[in-house]
Amino acid sequence: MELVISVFTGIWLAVGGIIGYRRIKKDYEG
Amino acid sequence: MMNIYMTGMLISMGIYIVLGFFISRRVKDANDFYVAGHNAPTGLIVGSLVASYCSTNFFMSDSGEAYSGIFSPMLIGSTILLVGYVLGALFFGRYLRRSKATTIVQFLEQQYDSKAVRVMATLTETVTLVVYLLSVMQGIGMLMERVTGMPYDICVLLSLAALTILTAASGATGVLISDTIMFGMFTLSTVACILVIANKAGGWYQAVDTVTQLNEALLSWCGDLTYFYPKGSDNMIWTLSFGLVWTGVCMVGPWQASRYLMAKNEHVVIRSSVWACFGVFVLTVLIFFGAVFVRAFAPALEQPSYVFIWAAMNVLPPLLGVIFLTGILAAGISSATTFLSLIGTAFANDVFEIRNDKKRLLVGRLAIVLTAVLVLYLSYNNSTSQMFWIRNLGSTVIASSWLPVCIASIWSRRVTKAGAFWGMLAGFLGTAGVKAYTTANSVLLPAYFDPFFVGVALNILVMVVVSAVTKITPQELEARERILIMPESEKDPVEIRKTKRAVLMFVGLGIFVAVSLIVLWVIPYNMALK
Repeated sequence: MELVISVFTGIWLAVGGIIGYRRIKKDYEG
Repeated sequence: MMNIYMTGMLISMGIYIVLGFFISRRVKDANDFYVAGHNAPTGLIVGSLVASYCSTNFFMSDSGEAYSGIFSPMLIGSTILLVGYVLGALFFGRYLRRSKATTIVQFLEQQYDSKAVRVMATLTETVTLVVYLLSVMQGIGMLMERVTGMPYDICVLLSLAALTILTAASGATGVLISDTIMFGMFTLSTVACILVIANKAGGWYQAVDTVTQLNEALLSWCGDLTYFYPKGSDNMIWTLSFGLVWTGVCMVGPWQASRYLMAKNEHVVIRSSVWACFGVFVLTVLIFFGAVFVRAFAPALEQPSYVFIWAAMNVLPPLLGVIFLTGILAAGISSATTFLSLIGTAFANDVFEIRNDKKRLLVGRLAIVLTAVLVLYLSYNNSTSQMFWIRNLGSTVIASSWLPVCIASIWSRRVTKAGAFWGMLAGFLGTAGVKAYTTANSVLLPAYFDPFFVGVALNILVMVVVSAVTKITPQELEARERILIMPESEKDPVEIRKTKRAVLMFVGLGIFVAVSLIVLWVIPYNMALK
């Protein structure tokens, strides 16, 4: 379960980063 | 009687006062005092973000909770929140900066074209900041009392006096600079000291093994089920609520998002949010593991909030102990100066709306001093045993009452000023109400009735219903359309490339976090269980 939680936490952050990256790409590149 | 720890603390406080006076000479006008001239570089914003996040609560009550039995909820909850920095900067913070408002409250008034929203936001903000400041000052008082032997009342008075002078003299510029210096100090001292603690316990993996042999629940995913909720799933739901509350705080909380008002430009806002995450994650891992590792030396501390004070005075070499304790004091002072500075700003700009620069400065400084007096009184008359829960109340109130309204102020074409006002009020009352009920009746509600869930659900429900029966005005729509127009100055291709790279680094942070947790927690813990 610790492994699941660790992986989930990493994915949570990575997904947040991807959402953020797509946002600025859209804003700066149209 | 003077000891080396007391000497270190008194010297550091003297340095902060002197620093305040030097920086006050750079304060030319109210803009400098309240928002550092909207010109701060990435380094200062990062320093202030992390320093305002890490206070005595982090090093004392939070660590005490990790030591006592909820290590995993604290670690994971404090890691989940990192996403709040980056999403907050992208979906809220940079628009704050774009507006060139002096305060978040001013920004909300502008976006909703509503004095009522301003009043509600100011009220909720001030209550939260005073409550949070109280918990930080209690932590500072407890820290100094234990270390110096001076009475708690004197410790609170001395430290409050020092940081009031620093804040009133130098304002936001001073707070940014001192925050960054203190951030450097407590980060370096934390890295050194936790690694020494782990080393003295026989190394990281040995420390995990020793602690697990004492009580295998301490480092487990569910925590010690005799300490908080008796079911692992409930502890995880609490973890989620804790993490989401703090995600909300990092996105829109005054002591976090207001740093962006001072940034040089929107690129600085975004990049500083990413770098702050790295700083917060490193500190989070070290502090919560470090707290549990102290169990290897002291399996049953009577007052877990003193876990690192005990370690500094009994495990670390004296000089390192002094540096660590001074670092913890710096963490407390850096947060407290931010809160005081924000309250001063709120009074001068949001409560009284003073146009004259000189009067604005005077009112701000007066508000800082009066708030310090109020907090001093409250510190003398409030139990220190509730520090963790007082701080949690403050953060939960702001997250549940502000988050939906702040996000809607930019992205919604439907939320009206009335919806925002009543939503904010509902969120505030919902959270405070649940918290008051559970405290007065000493009950532990099911995890899904956490005050945050109740507050935010009420906020959104009321906001949507009231907005549906009221009409959004042309001024509100115009404000929301205008804020989305990117200034030409933000379109520099070089800056854009750097910002995109920084956000990609955050994706990399996700991978780094998973790998770190596996290497530092999952593997050694499972080895210890065998």
